[in-house]
Amino acid sequence: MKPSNRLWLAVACAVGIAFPLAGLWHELAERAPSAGKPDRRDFTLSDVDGKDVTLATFGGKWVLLYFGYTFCPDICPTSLQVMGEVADTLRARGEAMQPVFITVDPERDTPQVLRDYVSNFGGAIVGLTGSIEQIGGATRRYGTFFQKQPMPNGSYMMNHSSGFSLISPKGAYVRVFRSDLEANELFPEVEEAMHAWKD
Amino acid sequence: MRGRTNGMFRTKLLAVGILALVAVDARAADIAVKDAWVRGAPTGIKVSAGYARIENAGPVADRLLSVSTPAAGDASVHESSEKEGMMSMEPVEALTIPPKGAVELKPGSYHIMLMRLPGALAPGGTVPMEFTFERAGKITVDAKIAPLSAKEMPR
Repeated sequence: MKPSNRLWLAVACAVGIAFPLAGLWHELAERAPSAGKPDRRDFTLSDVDGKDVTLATFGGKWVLLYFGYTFCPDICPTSLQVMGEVADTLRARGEAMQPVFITVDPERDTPQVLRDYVSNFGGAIVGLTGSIEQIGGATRRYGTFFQKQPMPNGSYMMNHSSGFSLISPKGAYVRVFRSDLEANELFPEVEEAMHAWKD
Repeated sequence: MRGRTNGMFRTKLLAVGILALVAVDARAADIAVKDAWVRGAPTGIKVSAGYARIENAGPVADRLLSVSTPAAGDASVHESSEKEGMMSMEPVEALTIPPKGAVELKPGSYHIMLMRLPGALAPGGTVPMEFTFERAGKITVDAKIAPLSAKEMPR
């Protein structure tokens, strides 16, 4: 096969994989909270001190999960700000909520970088990283997709699906929210989902 | 005599200089870069984003060709977009500023991607940013440094 043909095949494959995956995410996003068996999902990742973290680490608290990366200057800071603000508002009303930021770019997001980054936002956000396999497992379980996108200057970006996943105090996956909402739009949605949920 | 010639030459040179300035100004005056700001970057974070409102008061479109700033080794216009729940950023080759119109660079949309930051960007300060337009030429503004979590320009 000529190199140019190989390139086109690679592009075609990437597109062929990315679009159905994006569609699947959309279906997950649209799915209403399930009334039946609780949907339990978990992960094993590391916090900024290198300690293992699973959902049990946040035992008894609601968790709001966001997947992103620090080399994302435009969207991710806004999403983290919104997530932190919602968590602070809930705490002020006596609801224990832990916002969690999971990087999809462990190559650049070292524990130190993560620590510095999340400290710039409210809500006492916990930053988590891990091996590519651990992060891949976590993203799959929460219906999140990411893909490395090389840039002409040799750097790269990570295209990623974007949403806030709500997890109950007993570790049940409740639902995902759009991440382009303002804090005052997201807050009532999250609060409503929490109040409607029976663990 | 010699002194007089020199004097006349200087006057002519001055006139040409003023004319040139007026000519550049006449075009630059059509384009205004307003409310420029960048997100702060803590130590260790080598990337940030810049925003501004670009207004074109003139009767013809202009194009933003490039941006440069000493605060970043690499600056380029990008557009964030969401398709089917996937967030991505794409480089924008040249951003067209329509005649009698404006383009807003803001979070979640067009922005200046700042990469290879030589150091931290501390909120409260400013950084110069040079915008190069096809017609208006170079326009330099001071961009305010906002907190990393900012959603709009600090007031």
